[in-house]
Amino acid sequence: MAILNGKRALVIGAGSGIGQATARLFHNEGARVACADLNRAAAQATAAELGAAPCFQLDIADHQQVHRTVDSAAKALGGLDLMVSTPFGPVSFVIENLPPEQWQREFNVLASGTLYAFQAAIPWLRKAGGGVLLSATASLFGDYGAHTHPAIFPAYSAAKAAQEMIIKATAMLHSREGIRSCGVQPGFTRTEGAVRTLEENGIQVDQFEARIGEGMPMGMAMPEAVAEGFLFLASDYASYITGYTLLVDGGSYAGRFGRMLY
Amino acid sequence: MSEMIDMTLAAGLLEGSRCLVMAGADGIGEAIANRFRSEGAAVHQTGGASGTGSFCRVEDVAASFTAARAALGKLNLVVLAYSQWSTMSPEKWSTDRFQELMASNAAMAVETGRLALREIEGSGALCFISTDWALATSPDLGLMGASKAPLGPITKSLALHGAKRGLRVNAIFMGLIDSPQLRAFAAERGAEAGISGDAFERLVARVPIGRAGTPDEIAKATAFICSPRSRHVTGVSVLVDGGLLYA
Repeated sequence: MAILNGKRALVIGAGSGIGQATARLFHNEGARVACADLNRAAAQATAAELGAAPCFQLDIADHQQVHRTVDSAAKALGGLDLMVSTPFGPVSFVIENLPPEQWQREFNVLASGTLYAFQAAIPWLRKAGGGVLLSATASLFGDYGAHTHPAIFPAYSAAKAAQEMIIKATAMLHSREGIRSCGVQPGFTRTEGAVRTLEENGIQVDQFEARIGEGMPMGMAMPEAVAEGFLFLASDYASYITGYTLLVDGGSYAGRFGRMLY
Repeated sequence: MSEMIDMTLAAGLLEGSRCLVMAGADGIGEAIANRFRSEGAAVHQTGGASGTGSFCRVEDVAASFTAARAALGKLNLVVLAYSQWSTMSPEKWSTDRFQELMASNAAMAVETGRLALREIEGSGALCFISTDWALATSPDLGLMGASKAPLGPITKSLALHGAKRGLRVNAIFMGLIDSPQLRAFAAERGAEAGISGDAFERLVARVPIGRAGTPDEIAKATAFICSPRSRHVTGVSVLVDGGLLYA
């Protein structure tokens, strides 16, 4: 039997990167998957690949849209057991000159969007007698500051920290109902979004990987490897895990991305 | 597409693995050995209820590796599930007891780590079982927690060392687990503190998930983290505690 046989899952961010890899993996493990993404064409492509899966265009920062989409996805799947949200968007690099609109957009996509998605999914998971809420959280960009200029993402990092707290609070308040809440902390992962962000700032991804070198002991993660973290936490193998965020970073954080190596 | 699904888990998570499990008396190692077998691994177990004698000495670790190798061939998985539980009021602390706990809970990990690096060729996994009481504590569990605390840096150090060749090293931190041994331990503690009623249930009431874990829930998480389905997970502390510590 496949690990997620019979489970109904909504993956937000399924159009590319970690979300796409997660949608594929959940599908291969027997789940029925609905795909949502800001990029309509990308969501449609993933959904088509998974055999005409339900598919939605979604701006996760829009509270009403999130509720509508989660409800529609749950109805299309005949209920909901799992939800994974992996939002990403343009990121800024500064504190002093960070425009309020940029700060608000980043915070809304990452932190508020996670909250909205959890809020919308909880009634459906309760109806199913329990389930799992998952989010890609505090990836460790902050720790790259020492290695790359100017890859320090203040708004992104602050929003990711807020996501961590949303995950823990949800676990505290809803685990007794059988609703587990967990996160995956990817190390630097070779996704379209990450590569584009680096390139926009004049950094080639291979250059970046070479620069970090020993700081990423198993090298840069592939999205498929990060998706395995979601598979674990979504599955019965993690039945006693809640309020916890799993690092999937190939040992990077064990040496603080090389900062502690000597 | 259905072909793909059939292939995925036609076998267990650990099919083809050869594993040494070093178990203690608390039932966790026993559950891990059983779960690993049901996931398709060949398992050699030392200690625990069905193991070979009461296993808790650092001097015996090398012999366990030798016996496992003789029974199974070259190993690719090692789990150290041994824990020595102990309570002692800080007023009664003794360095002798501390050294005894360090010898069992910490030195065992050092010796296991060193031998696992040698035994496991290429990729594989090593996993230590620790407890939440190594990260936060109550007054009388301080020495026990202190003797498990070294597993943090020991795990990370081995993980960094083994990363290049795909030898992954992680630690599982368990919360309140329902086993006869830990129930008895809680009852003993409750009696010492003069608390009436079911001491274990009083502890369980604090867990966010609202129940104690089972030994198999520790074992399931250990199996997934040790399996090839966790290919990029190393140097990590996995809390299997129903949210006890952080939620």
